[in-house]
Amino acid sequence: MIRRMVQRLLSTLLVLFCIVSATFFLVRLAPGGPFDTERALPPETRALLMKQYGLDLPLHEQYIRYLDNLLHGDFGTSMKYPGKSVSEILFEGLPYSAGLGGLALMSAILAGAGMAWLTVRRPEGSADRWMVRISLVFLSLPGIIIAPLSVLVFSLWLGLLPAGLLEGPEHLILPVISLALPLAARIFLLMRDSVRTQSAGTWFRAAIGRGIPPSALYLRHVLRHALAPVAAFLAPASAALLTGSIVIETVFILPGTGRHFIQAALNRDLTLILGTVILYSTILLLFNFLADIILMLLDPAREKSEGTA
Amino acid sequence: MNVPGLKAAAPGGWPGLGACSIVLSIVVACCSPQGEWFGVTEAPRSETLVVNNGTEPETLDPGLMNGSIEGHIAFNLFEGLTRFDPKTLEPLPGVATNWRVSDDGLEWTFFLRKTARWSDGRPLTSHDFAWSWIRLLAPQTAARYASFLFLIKNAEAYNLGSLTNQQEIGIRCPDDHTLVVTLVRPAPYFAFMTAFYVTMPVPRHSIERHGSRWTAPGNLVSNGPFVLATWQMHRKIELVKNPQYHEADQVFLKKIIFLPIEDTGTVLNLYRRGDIDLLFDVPLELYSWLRTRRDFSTTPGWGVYYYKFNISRKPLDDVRVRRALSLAIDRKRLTSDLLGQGQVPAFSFTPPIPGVYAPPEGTGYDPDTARRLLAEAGYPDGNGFPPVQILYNTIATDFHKHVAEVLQAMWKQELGIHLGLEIQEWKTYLKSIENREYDIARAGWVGDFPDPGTFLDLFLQPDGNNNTGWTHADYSKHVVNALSDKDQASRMRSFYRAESVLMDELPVMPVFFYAFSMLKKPWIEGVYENQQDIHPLRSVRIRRARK
Amino acid sequence: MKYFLTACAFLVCMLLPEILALSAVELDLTNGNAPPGLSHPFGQDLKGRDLFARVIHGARLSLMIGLAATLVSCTIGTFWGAVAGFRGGKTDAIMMRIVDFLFGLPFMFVVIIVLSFSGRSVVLLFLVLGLIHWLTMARVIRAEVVLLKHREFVQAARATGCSTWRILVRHILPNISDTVIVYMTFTIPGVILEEAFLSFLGLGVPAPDASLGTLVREGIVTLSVHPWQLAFPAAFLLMIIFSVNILARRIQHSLTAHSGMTASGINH
Repeated sequence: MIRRMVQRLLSTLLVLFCIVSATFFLVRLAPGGPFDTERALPPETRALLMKQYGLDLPLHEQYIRYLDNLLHGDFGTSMKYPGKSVSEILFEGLPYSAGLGGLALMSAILAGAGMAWLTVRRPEGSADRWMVRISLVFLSLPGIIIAPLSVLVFSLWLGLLPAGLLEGPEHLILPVISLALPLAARIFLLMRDSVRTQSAGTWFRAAIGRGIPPSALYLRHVLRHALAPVAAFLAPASAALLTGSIVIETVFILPGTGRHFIQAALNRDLTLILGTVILYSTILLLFNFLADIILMLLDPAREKSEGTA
Repeated sequence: MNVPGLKAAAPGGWPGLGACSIVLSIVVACCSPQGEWFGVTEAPRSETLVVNNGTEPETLDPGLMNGSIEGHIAFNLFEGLTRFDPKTLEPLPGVATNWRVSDDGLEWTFFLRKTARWSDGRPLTSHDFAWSWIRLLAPQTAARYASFLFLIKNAEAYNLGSLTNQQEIGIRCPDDHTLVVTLVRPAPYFAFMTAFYVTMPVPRHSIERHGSRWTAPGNLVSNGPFVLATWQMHRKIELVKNPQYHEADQVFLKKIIFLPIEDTGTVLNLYRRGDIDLLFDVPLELYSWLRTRRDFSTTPGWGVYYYKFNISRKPLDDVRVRRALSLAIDRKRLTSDLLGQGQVPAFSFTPPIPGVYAPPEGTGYDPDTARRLLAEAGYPDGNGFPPVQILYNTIATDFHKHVAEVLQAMWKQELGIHLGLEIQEWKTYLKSIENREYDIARAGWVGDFPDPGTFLDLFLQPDGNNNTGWTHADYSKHVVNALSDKDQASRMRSFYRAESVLMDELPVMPVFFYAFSMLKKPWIEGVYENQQDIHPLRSVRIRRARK
Repeated sequence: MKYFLTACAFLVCMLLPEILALSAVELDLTNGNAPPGLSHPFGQDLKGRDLFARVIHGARLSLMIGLAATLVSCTIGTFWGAVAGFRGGKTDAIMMRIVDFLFGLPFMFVVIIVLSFSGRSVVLLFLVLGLIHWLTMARVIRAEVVLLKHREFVQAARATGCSTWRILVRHILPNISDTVIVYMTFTIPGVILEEAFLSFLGLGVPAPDASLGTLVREGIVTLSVHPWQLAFPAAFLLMIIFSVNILARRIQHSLTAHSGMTASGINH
């Protein structure tokens, strides 16, 4: 078990290294550079800027220099925002994104699991059927629909909640709900389906027949199995959530890191792109790693080959 | 209904208003009649002005700035030798109380006020200006806008590295309160340039201490009516009143908050709810609804929106085709029916500069001649017209898309030619233009100062900011004559001749002159729309509305 | 019967624009932003185009992109997963590390880089979306194949000297087809949403075409004064995704009882 974990960790690090390297070369393939502007810079000025950022060196030298700086914890300076370091920009936004994402994640898990808990006791009841239908609606509500519509209804028509900005806790209500609803629906469906499959199994009926109370069965066995797909789904989803949702940040004007995934790439801000990719990939790989360990702990007999997700 | 293209313009209101859905009736219920204000009208509680600035500024260092987003903040943080009148953009005394121009127009002497101070209390002298300007020109600063000062003697050579002796640059300080500037050619608009953010003084003592981090809140020392209080990226920038400012008694606002909101829908939601007091650049999508509101105001600006023709590609190498394309566009309908933010149809590349320059009248709208020219060029009724793409770029709004779609429809209707639309994201678009890999491309140019030279020197070389591949000996001759001419009247005549050549040859097709629009709440006083979208907020007042 | 109805709805969406001969590109500048009325049931957009026609055309485009991208992703994913799972060993390890690696790259970043290389087109768009979605598919299929390859009939085929390809095509693929179909139906709504998301950012289909995402983007701008311009496309987008989601669940229930087989999706 420990050996497998170490193995997994090593391969995760290798993947991270590949991601950093690939990004480094990919962004340079894209046409246009950080210093291209509508009003063309004089060639001399552009050359000076390139030199300032070490972009005049041969590509392999730039690469080695970047990796060297990275090992020393230096992500470089942003090319779009001179005077701001990449880590400064990312760590200024991360608390907002992680806070918002964390809140949404927690509420989604609570709501989803709570709903699942309520319905699985009475499978095929009308509550169950309606819950499934409603959650399918929520599942079909992406941020680009639910965010503007909730603004329209709750802040423009009813005037109950702010339409954006971050000036107090009430400004978080709509963004958190917009993020959490589809997520809660998915968690609910995953848990419900999985519990249903388990409780349809022969061992479950046999146990009931032997007089074991269903609640004990649910807690000790069924839930354990039901957690596996939820963990597998939540790992990448929470990585995306914690590093910032672009739509929610755009519609509600929140100062998170999500926008950098697009803006940095559009601006060809090479250092900020790399910083953002590293941040995202590290969190994603970390969560996947944790999910793997959870899956292993939940079901030690699980075949090794299934563990790649 | 099936006929593609444009319906004929017909007067008419909104059809089917009676048969609208429930959704609509709610909306209509919250719409107010014409001439009303948009959204909340109760005055705010505090003396804080909330402005939407459109996006996150790249820097607060005036020397490194190159855009109006940064400018909006700089005009309130710093003050140059002169400052702009918020309404007319006339240069007013800033740090300099008065100035004198020599008879040949080449030597400018500025007399600085002795009470001028930095926000940390240090005196502000002519040496600060000299240092700031030389810093701007120094090659290692790599200032984006260094060329702005090339009007000063030897400035260009110093910036390009061919001259290393700072003493030879035409900037002198005879004493602490006098600055003498020598120009390479007479420029009646120089006092205008000394109000622009590029020429604002920067605090040497702070820069030498903090390096590139001198613009961080806490480090940033400025000399304008306001100082920087907070700068949270992508959230807000807060300026508070500067007690050290020489005319602090004329500054009424306690605080200004600049928001970096790009999403136009959200901006309007916030404005409507009263969370934002003032915003520039009213979204096109809502003009028809907003232009009747009392919040809305607009003015034509010193900028031209135009299409570039790549004259090395067929069929655009034929001047008759270029003329046909230009003649077939009904700019009046475009500006009044689609844009309507106050844009003016453009038939010349340089906008008229009142009292200075009146451009040639240009070709106008004449679809019959357009069809004839196209037929002469070998494409009667558009037959055999090669595939041509209109290139434009993505921005936070769909502005360029809207314009391109309308022009595409007009060309289809009038000339029977179908041009494709090609959208590229910003940096790819810039690269395509630079490499001249396009057929027709949208472009824009905003002048820096009230002089045709800031528009017409674009076409002196085929590349740079021209990129159409077009040059013309007569044109270049006229422009060069104008640039070195000392007499204002004959300068303008040369510019006029040059522009006539340009509009004859049409390597670029002007579409409209920009308009700068804004929405402001009823309690804001002292903000004016002007030709350069420059908004010094130092004398803005917030008036409590009477109930 | 239920499938039949859904299929009919799809067909109507695909054909309706042709039947009604609605023009989604005809401009009518003088009636820009007109509200819903008799002649234009959904109102008109900024340039006076009929919003009903735009929404129907957009729905068709969104569906088409969803289907095409799903086909692309399922083809690649099935192939990749089946080969990796069946070959096992080093091949499997390398192939799945590649999947891990691609999975670790932020989706948006890849899309922008790919889109920056060339101009925008619908074909490019569904290729990009398809190329991103095959990763999860490959993982699911691989897990299936790993389980299958130890089953007797595969072992038997192997013993009789069948080639790897033959075994994959004749024995493995038919046995994973249920998974593939279920997975495909789960992928479609995900892809439609992602296309909508790209359009929301202004990176979607090129003008004058518009997908539902493009229309939602345009609707958000005018939200505060012309809410119907958001409401109609948003409702259509919601209905399409909802119905595909329902369809996916039905197919899943009737075909398999795979535990843990779940819809995937990237949360934005």
